[in-house]
Amino acid sequence: MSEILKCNSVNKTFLTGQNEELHILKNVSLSIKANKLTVIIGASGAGKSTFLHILGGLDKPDSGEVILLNQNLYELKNNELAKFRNKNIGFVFQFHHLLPEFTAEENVMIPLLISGKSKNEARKSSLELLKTVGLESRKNHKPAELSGGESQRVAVARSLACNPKIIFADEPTGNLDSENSKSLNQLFLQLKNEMDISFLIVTHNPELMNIGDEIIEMKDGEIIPIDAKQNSHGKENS
Amino acid sequence: MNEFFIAKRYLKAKHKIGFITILSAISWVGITIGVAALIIVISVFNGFGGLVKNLLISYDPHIIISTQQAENTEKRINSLLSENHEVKSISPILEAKGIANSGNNFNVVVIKGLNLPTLNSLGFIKQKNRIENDFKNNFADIFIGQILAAKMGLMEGDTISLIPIKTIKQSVVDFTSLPIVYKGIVKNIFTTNNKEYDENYIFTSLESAEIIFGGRFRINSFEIRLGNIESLNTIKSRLQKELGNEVKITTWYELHKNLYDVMQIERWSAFLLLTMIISVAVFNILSTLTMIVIEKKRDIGVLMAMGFNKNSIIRLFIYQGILVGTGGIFSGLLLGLLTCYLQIRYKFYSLDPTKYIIDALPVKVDLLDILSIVLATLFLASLASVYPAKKASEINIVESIKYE
Ligand SMILES: Nc1ncnc2c1ncn2[C@@H]1O[C@H](COP(=O)(O)OP(=O)(O)OP(=O)(O)O)[C@@H](O)[C@H]1O
Ligand SMILES: [Mg+2]
Repeated sequence: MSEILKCNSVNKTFLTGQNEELHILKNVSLSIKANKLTVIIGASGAGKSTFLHILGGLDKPDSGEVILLNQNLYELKNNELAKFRNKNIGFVFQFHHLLPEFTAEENVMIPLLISGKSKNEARKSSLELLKTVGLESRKNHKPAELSGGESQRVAVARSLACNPKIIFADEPTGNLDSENSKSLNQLFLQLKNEMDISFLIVTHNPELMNIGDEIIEMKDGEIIPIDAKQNSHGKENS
Repeated sequence: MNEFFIAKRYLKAKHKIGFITILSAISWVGITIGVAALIIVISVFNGFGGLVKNLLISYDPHIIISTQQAENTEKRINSLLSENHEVKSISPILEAKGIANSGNNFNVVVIKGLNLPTLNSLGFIKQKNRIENDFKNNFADIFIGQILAAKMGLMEGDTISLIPIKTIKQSVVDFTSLPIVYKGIVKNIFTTNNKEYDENYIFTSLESAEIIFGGRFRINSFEIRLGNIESLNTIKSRLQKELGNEVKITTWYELHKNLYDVMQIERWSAFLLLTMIISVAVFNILSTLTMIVIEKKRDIGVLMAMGFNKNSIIRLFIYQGILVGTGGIFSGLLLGLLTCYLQIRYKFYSLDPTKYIIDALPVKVDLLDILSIVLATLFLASLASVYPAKKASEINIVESIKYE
């Protein structure tokens, strides 16, 4: 099975308010296979979000490289990287982060509009996606009129808008009750099975760990390999 | 165009920071007032300018050609312009000072001789009192300015004495020669509303002037009047090209350069002053957008994560500025033009016609001015958006998406 994402010796340091250096990611290397649901777990402050942002092209590492779909992300110019994200990557955040002024349908349309699609095309695809996440009937609702679970499903639909190869999700169920979490997890599973798409999900949710093809644990800015439920995969750096 | 789509929505949105809504309303109203005021004031300036111009055009020559070789030049001018439909009249000028005398009343005047067609087509001459014949029985038919006529107590049909200054000078040094006195019959008392003319000028036929001043050889300039002042410059450049550099060609505009400069300066000062009103309003756009940037920080980060690049973010905010600007411009245009229209149509700001030569404040709407006002405002609005737009584009994605 082919590899979709790879990173080599990624380092990230933050400066604290007192000008102390915090070494958050320590020489992290990782390889992720295509069409898998990979889960990253770890204690709070381990550096999971930071890692996800760097892998998703949202934040530059201090050193090291990230290769997504055979493209070294940080060799791209800013505008190219933005375009690359639009085309190949979907994001789901802990909070749905839908634009409050826009309806569910319009929110899903926005990545499509950014990619240069016409409004009509975008609307058509958007409706299709809302159908996929089971919220077609809510297309004209603004985020304020949707429940937390519904909002997050719309956010998932939005992340799928441009047919990305990979979805990055940072604690997507972190704000949902167990019922909603469960159905969102099922949605991820369903999408993975129906589409040619990979997931990289940071989570504390035990159920999501169960359905993950691969589990990665982070601790103090380093990766500790552990066994996933079906196959063991343990040749990661530490 | 998705930037525009989002920009529009952002402005219409109910803001968490209620102040934003108030601020954008203030910028809207401010721009409306500024644009309307600018349109009205500039149009009144145009109205007055047009009025003055029309008055001046009706009695001043439009082109004056001065030359040393009058005879030759006259032929060439005539052959050049006789076919030109824009040219209303061409006349040699014979102009000199003289004394006008009636009873005990002596006045230094300018006596100006023009050929008959030109003389009779002067805008301010009453047609029934045309000068039909040239110097006859030692009498010259004359037109005399209204103030001068009043000073001398003259009515149409009265006779006065005209004494060329030259002969007076002679008689001062040479006691044997007496000043020569000619008789003039007042054919027409004219009013130009230009004091200079009404107080000092006597018009007569070229032939009479030649006799009074002693000969045609004194002619050294020609004046041309046009049907349409717009063709002035083309005709001037044609004349200059054909007649060469031995003639000096002065246009009506050049004659009134000072007046024009002053009017222009006044217009510009008004323009600048009122643009300041707009600038203040536009400054509100800057505050509004800056606050929207703060309020929408997270959304901007999300948009960037989804592939919006810096330029799109900049455009998004500049569009917002332009949208507020355009709204203000639109209502300002409406208000300003409506006011101008009402003034033109119903003269609701009227003037006392016994004091002024017009009955209402003159208003003339000029398309080019309107266009400049619109463009200047749009420019200011987009300028005001640049700073917040730049700030928005510098938002750090990771930082902005961290929080709910
Ligand atoms: N911009 C920043 N400046 C300084 N320190 C930062 C910054 N961003 C993150 N950190 C620090 O880096 C560490 C890792 O942060 P990160 O958000 O990646 O943790 P996490 O594993 O996602 O935790 P959680 O499970 O609570 O979300 C934390 O200690 C945090 O304080
Ligand atoms: Mg985190």
